Amino acid sequence: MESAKHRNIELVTNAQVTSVEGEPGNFRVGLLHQPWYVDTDRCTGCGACIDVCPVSVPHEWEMDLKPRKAIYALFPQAAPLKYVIDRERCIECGLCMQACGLDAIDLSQEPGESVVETGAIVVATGAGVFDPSAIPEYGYPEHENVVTNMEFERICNASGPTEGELVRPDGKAIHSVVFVQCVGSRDLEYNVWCSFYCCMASVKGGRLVMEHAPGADVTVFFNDLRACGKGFEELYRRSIDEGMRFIRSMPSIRYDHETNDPIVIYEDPEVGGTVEKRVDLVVLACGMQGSEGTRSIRRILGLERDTYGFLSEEHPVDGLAETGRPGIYLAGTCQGPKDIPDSATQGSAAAAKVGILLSRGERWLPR
Amino acid sequence: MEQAENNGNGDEGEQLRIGVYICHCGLNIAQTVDCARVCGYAATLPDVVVAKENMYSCADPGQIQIKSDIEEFALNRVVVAACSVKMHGPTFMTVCEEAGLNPYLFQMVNIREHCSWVHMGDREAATVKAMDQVRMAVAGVTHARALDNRVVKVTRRALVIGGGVTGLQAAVDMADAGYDVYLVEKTHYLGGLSNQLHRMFDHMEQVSCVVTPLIMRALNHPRITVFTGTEVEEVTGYVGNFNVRLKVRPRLVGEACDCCGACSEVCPVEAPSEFQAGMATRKAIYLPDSQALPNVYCVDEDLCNDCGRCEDVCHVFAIDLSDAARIEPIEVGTIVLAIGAKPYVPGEGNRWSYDGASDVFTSLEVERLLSSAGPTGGELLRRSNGQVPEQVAFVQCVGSRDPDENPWCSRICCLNTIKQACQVKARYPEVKVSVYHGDIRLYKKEHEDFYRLARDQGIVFMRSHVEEVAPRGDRLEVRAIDELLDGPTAQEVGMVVLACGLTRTDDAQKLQDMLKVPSSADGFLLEAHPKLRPLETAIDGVMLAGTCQFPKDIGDCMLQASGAAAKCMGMLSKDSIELDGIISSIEQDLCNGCMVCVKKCPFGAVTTDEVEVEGKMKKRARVIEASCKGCGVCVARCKQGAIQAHGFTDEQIFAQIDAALEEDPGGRILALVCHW
Repeated sequence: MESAKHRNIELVTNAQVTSVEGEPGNFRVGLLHQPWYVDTDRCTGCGACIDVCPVSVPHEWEMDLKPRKAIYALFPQAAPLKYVIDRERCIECGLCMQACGLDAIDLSQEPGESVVETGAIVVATGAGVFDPSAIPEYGYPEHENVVTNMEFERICNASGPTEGELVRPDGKAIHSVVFVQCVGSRDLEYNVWCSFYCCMASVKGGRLVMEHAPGADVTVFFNDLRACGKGFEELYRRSIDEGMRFIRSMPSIRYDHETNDPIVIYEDPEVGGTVEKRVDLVVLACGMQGSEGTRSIRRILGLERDTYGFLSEEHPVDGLAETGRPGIYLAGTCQGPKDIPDSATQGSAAAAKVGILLSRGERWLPR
Repeated sequence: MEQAENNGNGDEGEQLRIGVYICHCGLNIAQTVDCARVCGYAATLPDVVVAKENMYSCADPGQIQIKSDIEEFALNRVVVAACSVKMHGPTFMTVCEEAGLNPYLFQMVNIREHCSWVHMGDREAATVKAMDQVRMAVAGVTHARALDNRVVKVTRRALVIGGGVTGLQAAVDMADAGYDVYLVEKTHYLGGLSNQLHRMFDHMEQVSCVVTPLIMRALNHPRITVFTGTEVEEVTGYVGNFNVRLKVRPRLVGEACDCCGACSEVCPVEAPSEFQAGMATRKAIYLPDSQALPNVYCVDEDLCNDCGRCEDVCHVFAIDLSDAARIEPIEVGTIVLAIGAKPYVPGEGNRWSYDGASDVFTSLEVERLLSSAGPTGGELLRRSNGQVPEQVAFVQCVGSRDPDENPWCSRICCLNTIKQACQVKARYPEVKVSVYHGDIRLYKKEHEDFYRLARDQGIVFMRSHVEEVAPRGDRLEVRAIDELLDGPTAQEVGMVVLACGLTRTDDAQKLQDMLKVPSSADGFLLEAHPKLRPLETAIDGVMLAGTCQFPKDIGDCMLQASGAAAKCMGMLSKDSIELDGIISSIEQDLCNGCMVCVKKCPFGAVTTDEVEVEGKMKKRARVIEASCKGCGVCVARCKQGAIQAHGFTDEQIFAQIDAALEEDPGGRILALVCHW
């Protein structure tokens, strides 16, 4: 909201960087603007078009847990709140054109190109998420009541597929949830690194379940509970006090096909021996990994990657917001997994480095 | 109470037309509060001409709705019942402004944090409370007056408090961006705690390889004025215009010093060396370390007995023991707090037998042992016999994650232990190293590989709770409960290293009092928002960075420092900034010159005028508008009723109190709390 309204920020969305030329202080960046098929100057985000659109497709923002129309905005608080047409799905029935009182629909739009001149570039293209279908033991995605942490975020969200009702994909109310940590993380076969955010995300998720359904049974299976940020340990302790269970054990999952309930099988250190636990929902805490978008921008900008598939920082201690290429800076999870405050901090640090470069009207180069 | 005239946009006699908007905030509010009922109720309140619900009032459709209603219904007051005014107050004030309504004719009421989030599971009571809150807001906004924002000039210089790695980085970044910076360090040397650290985890790079160049850049930068041996004595003023008094203690040794060390040799006074964590001594005139910067000796004033022998032997006549402290006034626009943290040291009677004399060491002590510039020249030697131990045990979470001591996790100790254990293994491959730990807490992409490497080197990690470390003969016995074996273990070792976390510094309170910066329950300084504004404090123009906010590694300190620098640069880049219109004003005719407000104002924002009263010159108080933070302390203190806080006038507050207690006053608790 703040960036969308800022006088000094021009938001260019639905566009890709196609080329970068020049040097620090004088980059020329080629942009490819994808067509919206909607005149964004006219669209007010009223939503009349979506009411009439007859096409229903899975909504990627909602992790495919909910449909969207062929004309859509990603989410209610999206900035800018302008509708866009998914031309691959659009059947060109023209109903949205009739419904739009502002005459904003324009199916004739073509992709456009432009070049922007800029002194510095910040790469903040984010990360991807591990796909747990690579590990067959978890039964994802065959078992519909085994979901990823991103899917669980949507299930908890008021504007999500269930409008915030805590129900599992098959419609049953959720009263017991198991979180499985380190899915694909800290694992020599998959991703060797720790994504750090997942432990606290599961603590938060468990608390949300307990708030939605008082008395709910929440269990977190973990290796090391990495509550090492400000207030994190305190929240973890409070969650234990309020009844959340933390079991240091890695479970496997079976499925009761009659009730659709996942059954979690694990070694219980307190009971001593194998225990089977029937639950309503299993949430797989999947870590972060390098994303396709970051890979392609890395090639265009000529940046280095680390052994894990994230972007390499210039120095792990005193160059965390810089790349090896002067004038190009880094922030957020494209550099490595991190949580929101650490991302925001790195964003501001990158802004400082840009500010330094841009504060001078000229740059001295070695002869 | 006298009924005030109802004014819209300040025009006399205007008919009140109030619009009320109830936000669902998705389900954050709607799940607990019956928003439709609250909305229906709001529509029945006096002068309310329109009441509506929104899924997200802050999203574009919600904003557009309010804007078009202001026009369509000619609204002259707006109430939004949603989240915190700190979060979205500015959003809706802008909406009002864009629709041509003075933004101070808007009132926000928080039915999320103040209602739905605290009354989950009691829909009826929460809904009634939300209705009470809306009724209060409508009553309050009835008496709102149009106010103007203040524009204040900005002094385009910054002050960085703390000359450790964080403060240095913040100062260098701002200076590089073209701003003049004052860098203030309490001790006589720059670098802070990082000077005492030997290597950085993960890449095993020497800390000095990062810190020394940074100190040199700060010392040589034409835009940075470095004050060492200096403390902040007083801060007055406000964002853009802070007046700061620095107390500069004399170093008593001038820049002519060539570090020959003759003075130290003759000095008769000896004390434990802070730099060597008390494991060596220094003189009253000393250089903590040969690499210390500025590379000039200093005199410990508290210890010096003024014998003058050092003055006699100094061949460059650099010493002047008669030098006295001086006060240096400076003016700055922004302040960065980078005052660092203090390593925890186990107190008397601790269960790890730590007393600073046995073979039990803290992590900081081991850092000095492993350093070539340390008291043992880099050898890991036991205090008891000066021998390398055959076996070393590291104990994690000493004083940390402990409800009776420090409940927080200090984040860096696991990595620090892995680093030190690897260093021990690398130098003494035959020494057995074990680590007693709870969770191993790592947090960056490369950390896991580092941990794996440590295990591959034969370092034994045992998930155990250490109950006691006790002397046994010439060795130490570590008694623990092993989580895997589910039973007690005992091991005899030659050396125990206690992984101690970080705690707030002793200086924090003085600066907090001066700057009015709050701390969180753990004692570390509190950021303005834990997720979205981690680099700012609640006080405009005061940023924070480094371990004073929470324990973190050097890389994260430097990142936060750069981030805080960016926040300062944003403010310093403009000649002036706009402040809100919520300030106090004094009606001088009612003032009797008692001066209580002048004394009680925490921001020094009340001054006095000489005014002629019945032929005599009398003192009358006046608010310095740019300094006033609108806190209302003066209003509460004034017995004459001469002071009003705009935006929170008596009329507005009494109207809200009356509205709150209109129904079932016996069944309600009314609290007057801060504007949050």
